[in-house]
Amino acid sequence: MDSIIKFENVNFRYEDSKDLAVNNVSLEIKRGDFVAVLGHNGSGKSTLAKLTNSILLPQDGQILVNGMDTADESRIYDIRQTVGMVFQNPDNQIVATVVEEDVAFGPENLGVDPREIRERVDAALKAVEMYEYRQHEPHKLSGGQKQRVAIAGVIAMQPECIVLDEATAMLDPRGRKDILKTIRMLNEQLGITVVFITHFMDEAVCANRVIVMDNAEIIMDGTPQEVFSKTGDLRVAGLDVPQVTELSQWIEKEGFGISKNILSTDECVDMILSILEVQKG
Amino acid sequence: MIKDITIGQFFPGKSMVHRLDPRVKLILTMTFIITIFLCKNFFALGIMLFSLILIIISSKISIKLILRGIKPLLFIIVFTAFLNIFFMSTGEVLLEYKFIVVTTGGVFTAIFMAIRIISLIIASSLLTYTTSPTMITDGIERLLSPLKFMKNGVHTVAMMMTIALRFIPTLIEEFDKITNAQKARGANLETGSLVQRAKALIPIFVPLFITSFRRAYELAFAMECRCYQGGEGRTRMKQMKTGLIDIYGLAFMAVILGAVIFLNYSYTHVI
Amino acid sequence: MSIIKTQNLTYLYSTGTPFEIAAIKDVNIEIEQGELVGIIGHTGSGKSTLIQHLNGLLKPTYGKVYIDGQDIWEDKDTIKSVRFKVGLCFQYPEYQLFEETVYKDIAFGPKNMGLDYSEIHRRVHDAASHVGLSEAHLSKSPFDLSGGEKRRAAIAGVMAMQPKVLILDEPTSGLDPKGRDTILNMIKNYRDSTKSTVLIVSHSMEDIAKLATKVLVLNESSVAMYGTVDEIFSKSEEIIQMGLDVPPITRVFMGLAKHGVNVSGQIYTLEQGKVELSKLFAGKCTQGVEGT
Repeated sequence: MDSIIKFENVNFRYEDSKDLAVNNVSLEIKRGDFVAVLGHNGSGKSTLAKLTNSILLPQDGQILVNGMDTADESRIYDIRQTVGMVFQNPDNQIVATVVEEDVAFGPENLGVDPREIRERVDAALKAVEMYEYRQHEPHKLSGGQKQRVAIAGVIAMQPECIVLDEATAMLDPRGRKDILKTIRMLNEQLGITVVFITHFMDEAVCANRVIVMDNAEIIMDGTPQEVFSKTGDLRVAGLDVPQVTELSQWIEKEGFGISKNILSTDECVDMILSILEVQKG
Repeated sequence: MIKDITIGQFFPGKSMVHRLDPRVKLILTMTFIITIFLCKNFFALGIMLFSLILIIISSKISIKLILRGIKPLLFIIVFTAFLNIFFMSTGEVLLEYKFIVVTTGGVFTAIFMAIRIISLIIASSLLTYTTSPTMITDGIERLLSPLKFMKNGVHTVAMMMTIALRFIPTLIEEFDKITNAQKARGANLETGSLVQRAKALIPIFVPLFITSFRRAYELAFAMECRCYQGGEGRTRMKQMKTGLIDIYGLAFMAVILGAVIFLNYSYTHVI
Repeated sequence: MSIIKTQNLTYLYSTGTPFEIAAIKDVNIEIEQGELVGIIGHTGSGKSTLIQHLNGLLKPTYGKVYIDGQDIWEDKDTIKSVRFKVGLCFQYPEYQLFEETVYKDIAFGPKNMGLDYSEIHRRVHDAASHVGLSEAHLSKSPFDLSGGEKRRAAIAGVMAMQPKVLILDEPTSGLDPKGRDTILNMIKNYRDSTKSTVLIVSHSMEDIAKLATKVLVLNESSVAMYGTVDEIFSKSEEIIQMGLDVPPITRVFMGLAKHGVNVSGQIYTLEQGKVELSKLFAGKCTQGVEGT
């Protein structure tokens, strides 16, 4: 079983709405992958997130988490333990008045042995580099720090997958960078599957796979290089294109050289330098 | 003003007082408070004050913080003291002016009451200063757990208290933000009649309530995602274990209680 | 005469205790009428404290604030009128909406100014058109609007006071690219049509580069730089050293310069980048041709 989350022809409609929020979505997320889900507000990407751990149940189709059907009520806590979730507003997901007690909340709910909870909490806080803050009151932390505590709270449940639902939307650039660094580490070193929902294009660049949603449907799915090369389609979907990608495509269009779907500034600099080299030679 | 209130705040530490089992600490605090009320004379109260000072020293909480906790309640203390001075008419008359009569009995009672209230405040703030809110609610939950038939209720109330304590600072911050935003639109909050002022609060409280509901809704989601399913089957990271230190604490309290009862009966007529 | 002027503006927290901290210290700025100033700096650099001084929500510990040449704290009783002159829109302003209809909410500010009914009516419609809200929107409950519309309604509430200076604290935070562009365009048009002064606090260098005429950089509670966008972005190296971002395009040209390529140090929009690259490639091309 190498897919951790599997959507099969999933439809979802909110009770008070006449339009589908998720329309006939089929999707497989591979174990250990780092997937970015992009889309403007109301494109259905947050609904997609909530469908992955039984917070919402599809009206049609089936969602399997590690082979467990999210509609199967007897497995609900297994599913939520497998797929942890981090939300947008860091203030509204911290329960306790002391950092370490909040991180312990999940494992406590799962009935984990106290001594093991202690170990998990310490390890989780160290992983997100918040261990020195374990005795602090959450409301005195910065947004980025709070969000890292929230991530630690999820890791302490030892999930196989973490879904971050616009977890960086309310943070300042520094906080956003810290979160990105943290989840890359979780993905690379702990092998946790990451589903990262965002509308910041530059954050999607470090994923292995980018999924773009628009109008309740998946409209693009591929590597960041593949997806970002379709600048026109992205604009139609109400999204940005990274400046360097746009510049390198312009270079190709103007006939100065060949664009290789550039995503970072360094790549862009190298490309321009190589064009100049060729010209000189 | 709101920021002056230190009661309910927690200052992490490793002192003897910090290390007491929360359940024991709760019982000790309650016994201490009851004992304060049992005191009938200055000797008994003196013992309480003396032991309170010992507890403060061993808690390593700065005197400044303790005094800051009393500040917001100073008015109440002074007010009760005054009531006692003017309405007690035992003992010698010290001062007489028209209908105001100040007697030695009144002054003594006033001082006695003031010390009582201050010790009460210090004792209860020492509990919250040295015990995290979660530990207090956990302690209460566990102390009440023999009441099996209402166990779930107890857990729910304890959980609610924890969340309330967690969100009080957030809501205070929110209140400040919204107040500033409405002030920036020219909201008049400082002047006008009582009715006008009450009305002026609508632009602040409507958004505050709406935000709070949204927060509650999102928090409920987040808790569900973290597998919260009520008190059933829950474990706790911080185990409560009574140790030697708790026995010392109980013994200490027993000695104080004994001394107070003894002094109450030995000097029945002082104060 | 400058519309905003501060003189040694300093604000201290916890004065008289050993924990005294300056939120801003010795800020001396002069902002001319009609500028669109981008204010950048880290969280905690003093941005919020500064803007709250400009409309009199905070009183300076030391120093003076002049709006339109007038010391705003000269007469304490007139401080409220400063709030109408300098409209301040906080971050996530949609969380301040409270009325039954969008119309009434936008009218809150003008009503507090004591204007008559017809003037309020005119201003509400004016403000609504600035933010692109229709008549149908105005009769709705603000809580039935979409996220982006709520934000716009809240901004209209400040615009309706017709302030000489409009200050917006991160007006685009939390919005998706489409919502962000709508708001930014709206602000630009508002400034062009009303000729008023606009200050925007933002974390996005790309937005500032596109929009602003002047940039104010705050760092560690003080003004680090103030100047035209050209001036500021020619010091990109310093900005990066403060731990702030510069637009990616600027980084590309900085990278090229580091490799000895002769390029302008003032590239901060995509368009400028394209022009500069055209020159670069064309120049090299001719050289290459000459060489053979």
